Amino acid sequence: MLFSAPEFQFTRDGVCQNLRSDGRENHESRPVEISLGNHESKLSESFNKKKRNNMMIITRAVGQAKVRMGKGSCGRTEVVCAITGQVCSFDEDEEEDDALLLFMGQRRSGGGGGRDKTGGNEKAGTSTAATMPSVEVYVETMSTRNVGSAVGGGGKGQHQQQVFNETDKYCGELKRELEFAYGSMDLLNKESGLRKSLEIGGSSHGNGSKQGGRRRHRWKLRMDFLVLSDDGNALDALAIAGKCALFDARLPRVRVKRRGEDEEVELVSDSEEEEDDDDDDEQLEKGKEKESNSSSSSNTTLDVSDVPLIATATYFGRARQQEGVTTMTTITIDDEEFLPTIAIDCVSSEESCGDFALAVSATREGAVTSVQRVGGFGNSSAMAVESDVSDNVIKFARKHCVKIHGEIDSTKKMKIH
Amino acid sequence: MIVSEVEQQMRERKMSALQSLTTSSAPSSRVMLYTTPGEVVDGVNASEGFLKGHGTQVSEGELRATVSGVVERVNKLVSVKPMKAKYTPETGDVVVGRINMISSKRWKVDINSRQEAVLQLSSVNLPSGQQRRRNEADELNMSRLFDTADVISAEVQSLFQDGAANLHARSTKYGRLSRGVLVEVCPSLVKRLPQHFHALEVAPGVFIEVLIGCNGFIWVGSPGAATSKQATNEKSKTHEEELVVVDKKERENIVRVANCVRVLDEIFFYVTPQSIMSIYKQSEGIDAKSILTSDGFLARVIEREIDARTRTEEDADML
Repeated sequence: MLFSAPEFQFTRDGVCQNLRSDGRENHESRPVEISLGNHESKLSESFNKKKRNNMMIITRAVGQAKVRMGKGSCGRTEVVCAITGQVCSFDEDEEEDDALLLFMGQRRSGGGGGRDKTGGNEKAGTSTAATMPSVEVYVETMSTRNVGSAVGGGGKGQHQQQVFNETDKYCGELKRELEFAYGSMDLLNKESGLRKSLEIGGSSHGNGSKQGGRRRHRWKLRMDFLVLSDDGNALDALAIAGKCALFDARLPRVRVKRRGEDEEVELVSDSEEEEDDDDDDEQLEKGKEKESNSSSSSNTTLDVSDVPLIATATYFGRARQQEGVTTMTTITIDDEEFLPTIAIDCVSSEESCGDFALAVSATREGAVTSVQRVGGFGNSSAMAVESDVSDNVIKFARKHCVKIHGEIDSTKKMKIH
Repeated sequence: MIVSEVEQQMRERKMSALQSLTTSSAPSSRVMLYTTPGEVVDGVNASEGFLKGHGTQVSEGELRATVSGVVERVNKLVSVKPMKAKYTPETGDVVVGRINMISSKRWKVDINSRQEAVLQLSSVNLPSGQQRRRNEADELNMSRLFDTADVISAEVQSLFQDGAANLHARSTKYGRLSRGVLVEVCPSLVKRLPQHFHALEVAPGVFIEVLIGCNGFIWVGSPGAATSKQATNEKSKTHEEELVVVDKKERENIVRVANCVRVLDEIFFYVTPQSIMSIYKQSEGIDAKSILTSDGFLARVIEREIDARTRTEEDADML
């Protein structure tokens, strides 16, 4: 993003004075608005009957969430997350693959279709979890707002190619960062709440008939993220969307039914009739639709208690010395001391002014699960950061992370009741 | 994030206010015709004949709109002016733009229009006001005048054949902008006014400068940020002046005015000095950031506007 020297200085001074250009203080984030797929219809029904069912954007998804930070045409970051489930089976002693599969795409005009399904082969059960590259056709300049300064040069085609590459790079970055944060969630740990809720049932027919060669079944989730508009801090928004979509997800209740040989395992939806259909996938789809029509209580929900959120804090370096004004060295929030030039939830103009930014993922309890340096911005001289500064930034981000956790939790509670 | 019942009510109130604003209070004196893409433009009589203008297309013998916007007619020429579109430059417009690149003897400027505008080296004044010497050193020093990414104010001098703007900055009031913040609004919200540089008196004796560019870029800054550039002989000195720290009180005012402009964009009202000040006055008593985020405030603003419009209509009826 192009940013002139006076603007750069103005923005940095704003952070030093604890007043940013949209009126927020450094520790304040933009108001976050969350709409959930499965809950929203109910919620708005109670409030306003007219607005019912306005949220179901992605009909095939088992869970979805849209997160919007900020308002207006500028300063708005909007992301969507959709979750689809897939049942995979594998031998008990087989190596387990990742339970989460991340997928990221940025909106392109006209590039709606052409997205491959995962080469999901449930029967094989081996880790075909490699993420598929998104097949996208056109570039929309609106979504390239944050994708570097794509300044002219060359012909039009070359310019587009450049923007295209930049967009891909940007999506890849976000995906890596999100994967990193979720990867630290320790999903392979059997005690993890989310992992437990993905297991499919032990109460199958003829369970004890054969001990050896028994196959186990588990849901495999696929989270599709889409950045609709990006004015800074997309990563935090994505993490919130991810968590909310997982919370929103309603997996159809299935159980394992086996007939004769062990290999011929069928998954039968737990609805009224037990349908005998050879195609697993199709039947699952049917089951899903049926379940979503009937009461949602028969669907399984996911335990999202240990899914982390991400908070990105940007450090703006030391305040400029001003004549006659003594700059503060620390500020105190809730009896904790912080450096005065750390800001949370930066818009893109602020992001390009910072020295460095750290994305900290933390659980509800405040346990930091991952820390990573994000964004290609900042000056390179700040590569070597003093450890006490970075510690302080992490502390700041962690505090904010816990705060959003709390806010989301209270939102969720309200939506359930 | 947590939508309490009160907030929800406020949101509904805002929505209903917006609805009644769009439906009921169109000035009865001059009826505006709105169309959406694909719609047959009303009031066009095919037998009388018409000329299709921008934003229209003839299909099956009927004139249909290709954009959503307001129908404009000049004799037989029917065109639809889109509500939200890129800026279309016109000669004489004051614009705020960002330097995109420097090429030989000219700057390429992003002015939110379809094409990049051009600012030629020959059409700027040196900061000292003295005559420019046409030599190579002068061309090499272009980046010292305006560097890439700088935000500048300029005027549209003429239009090229393809509609791109040719800018000039030959007055002391045009030049690099500093000590402020750039707010982008929809270009159709800016009317062409006799004066685009404004000093808003936000409190007795306290001024905030606002430069409303016709292209929807609006610069909000401290006094002297946009106008009254001191002609100094040394270039470096002005650079230093531009980087002076804006103190917190002044910054608060700048932020508040900037948020007022953002609100006007959000509710799609014209951005004029009067409308900015009206929002500013109404926002007294709430913090600057709540201007943007509070639905209750927006609801009040819109309801007030409806009141004002109905009142003027009644006055018109009385007359």
